[in-house]
Amino acid sequence: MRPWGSSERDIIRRAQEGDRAAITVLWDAHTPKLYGYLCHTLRDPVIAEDVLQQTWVQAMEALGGYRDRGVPFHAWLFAIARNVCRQHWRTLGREVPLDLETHDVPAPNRNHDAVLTVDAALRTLTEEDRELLRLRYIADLPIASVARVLGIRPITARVRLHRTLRRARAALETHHV
Amino acid sequence: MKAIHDVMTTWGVQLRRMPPRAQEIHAHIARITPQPHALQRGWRMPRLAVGFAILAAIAFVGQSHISGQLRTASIAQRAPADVQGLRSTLDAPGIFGTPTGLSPRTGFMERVVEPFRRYLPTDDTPITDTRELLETSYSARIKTRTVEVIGSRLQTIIRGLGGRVDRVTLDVQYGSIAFAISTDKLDALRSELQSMFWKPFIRESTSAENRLADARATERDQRNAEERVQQLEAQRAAAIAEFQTRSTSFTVRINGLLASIRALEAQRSTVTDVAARERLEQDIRARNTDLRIARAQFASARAAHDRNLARLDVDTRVMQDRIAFAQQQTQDLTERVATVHGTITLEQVAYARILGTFFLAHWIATLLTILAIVALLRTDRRPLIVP
Repeated sequence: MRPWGSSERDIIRRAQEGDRAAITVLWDAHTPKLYGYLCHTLRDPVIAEDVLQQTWVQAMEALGGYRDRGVPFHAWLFAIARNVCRQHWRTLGREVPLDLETHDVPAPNRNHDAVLTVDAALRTLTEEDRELLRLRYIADLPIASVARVLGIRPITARVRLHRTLRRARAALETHHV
Repeated sequence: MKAIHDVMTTWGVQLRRMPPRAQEIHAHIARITPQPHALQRGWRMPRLAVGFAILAAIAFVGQSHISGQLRTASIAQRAPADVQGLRSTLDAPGIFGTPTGLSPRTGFMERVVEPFRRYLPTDDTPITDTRELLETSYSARIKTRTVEVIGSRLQTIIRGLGGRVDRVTLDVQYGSIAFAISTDKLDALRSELQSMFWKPFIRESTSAENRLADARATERDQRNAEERVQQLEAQRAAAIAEFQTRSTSFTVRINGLLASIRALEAQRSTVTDVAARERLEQDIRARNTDLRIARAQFASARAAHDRNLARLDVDTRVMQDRIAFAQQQTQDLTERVATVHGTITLEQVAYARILGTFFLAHWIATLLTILAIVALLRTDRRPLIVP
């Protein structure tokens, strides 16, 4: 689904009116990115599923009041997801660190080793850098939406992403990718 | 940088997937989503913003109403208050040196003013004379956008009230009108001005001075002159009466001498004795001498009487002139009291000043309006979804 075409706007409007087919379209379009983002953030697929469900439940409850005033639907959805994650960590009292031994099992036909190598390289980065990369490449959000989710200016997001990619490249070169 | 971007893009794509319980989660979400026909859109009322807006409207109406009432009350009370203020100032004990018989206070005024009381000017008008001959002057300062147009209208109003325009100066930015109007038309003029201009843009002042002291001085002069005239007229009558008596006396004496002379002359014509004749001649000559003296005295007395009358007449005319002058002064004072001399100054005001004055005059309503706007902007305006 292309972001912000008139078709997506119509789908969202129909979903707001309770059209389940439209909700299914949104579900299919955003859930893979959302689940992938949550798995990489939470490091636990079961917890990621729970958070995913909570995220969609809250999104459906608030969908009626959603208005596109410079906040695309995907940015809005991932903002809800980040809030649910924070609530989860607050409940646990801690954030689960990256642990390659208990890393999530990738889907079949994925280049598991390459993913692990990139993850290992990303381990050397800060959590802020990793969050930036998750939103940009897993969630597939444009820079403006990443800035909106993180609550920063787009130019700031662009500069940070550039620096993060430079650090990531250096880290990957160290791991001989 | 493109290479790392491609690496990260591939990495991201590989991490995207559906959860194992995708269908279960999707079904759960579908269950909790209400049916289309059950959804009702409501509207979140911005209660705080509406509340502030209502208060702002009430404050605006209230402030406008109160300022209108104050304006009406000020017109009705202004002239008597000015007089009361004048009298209260004159009546203040221990200020103008008039003994009041009251026990001295020990305040600041007494410590400072008392030593200087005898140097302060005194007004000898007794309190028993309660007449008020108020000579009134009026001035107004008006701010307006159209000085020349308003100046022309004001002249028409003054003339329409039977007044007189004595001096006019008008240009685009400033104007001045000096006028004279009957005292009983002043309130009408002020009502007209206050209905034409918004209260913050018109500033008026009225001053009145009681000319009772002048009137009393004039009355005193006239009274003294009238009394003097009466005295002079009495003196004249007395002088005439006295001269009448003296004139009668002189006439009797002169007539007696003439009769005596005729008798002696008749006797002389019948006497032949030379010695007797000589004695008669001497008597006749003596009588003639007495007659000349009597006539001279009579003439002198008449001349003195005429001079006296002339002096009295001159004095009487002087006093009558003084009476006429006092009457003229009284007439002039009456006209001055019956006339108000005023000045109206016009000044052009900028639009920014008008707006600023408006918002200041209705500052409560303005503040509440700002609060209403802020509350509205901060209100969650998403429509309610009521299943």
